[in-house]
Amino acid sequence: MSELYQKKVEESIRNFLAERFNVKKNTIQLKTSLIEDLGMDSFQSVELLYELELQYKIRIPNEALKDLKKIGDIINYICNHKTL
Amino acid sequence: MAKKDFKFLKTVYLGDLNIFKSAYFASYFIWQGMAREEFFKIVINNYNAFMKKRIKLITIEATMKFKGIAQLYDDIEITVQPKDVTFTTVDLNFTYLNKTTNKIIGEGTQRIGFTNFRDVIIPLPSELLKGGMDYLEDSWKKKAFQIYDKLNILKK
Repeated sequence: MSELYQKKVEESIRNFLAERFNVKKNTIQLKTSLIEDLGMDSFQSVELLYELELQYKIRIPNEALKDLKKIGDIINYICNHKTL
Repeated sequence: MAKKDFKFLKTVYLGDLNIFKSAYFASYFIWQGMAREEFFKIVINNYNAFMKKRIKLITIEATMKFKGIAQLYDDIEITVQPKDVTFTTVDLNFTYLNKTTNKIIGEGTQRIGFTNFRDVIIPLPSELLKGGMDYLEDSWKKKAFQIYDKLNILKK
């Protein structure tokens, strides 16, 4: 998957977090943890994943959720499962 | 169309009172739960069928602010107002009016979500979203409709 596509996914996550949780965009890095760094609870994390499922038309199974703790994990998952 | 108001009436009895003959603070929280259950019962069209889906209701956060006392046989009217709907959670506001003294005696909030029987977080049940729509302020109603549409897309 292209670097450009990864940047696009990263930007959409930043936009969602900034709008929904008042998080400053520049504080969101690949290693940022949704729960430990951003203080999101598990319900908010799942909310983010649902938004991304719709936006990128992918299915994120429940079993995958436990491994998607950091922004980088989510971007990798989307890039690896997106069918073009 | 103007939004509907949901009001739950609770009469204060001896079991609600402390030794000083005013209601325990904990009683206010218990009444919050009663008002919420009654709200769901009214809002969800086929409540019995809904309960058979083995969905679990999770209270993520709850607050309660004391503003005045309630005493024996006072009638307390608790208004439940849903707001801030997301894919996975909804906030409920509770306002307690002591109808005997005509004073606001408490304000509370809850943020709730749902899991399936395996304790996996699930989207807000469509029955709740649909039925609760009439009780939302216009600003939240628009967002709730968007979420309802998105959930239907996710189901496909």
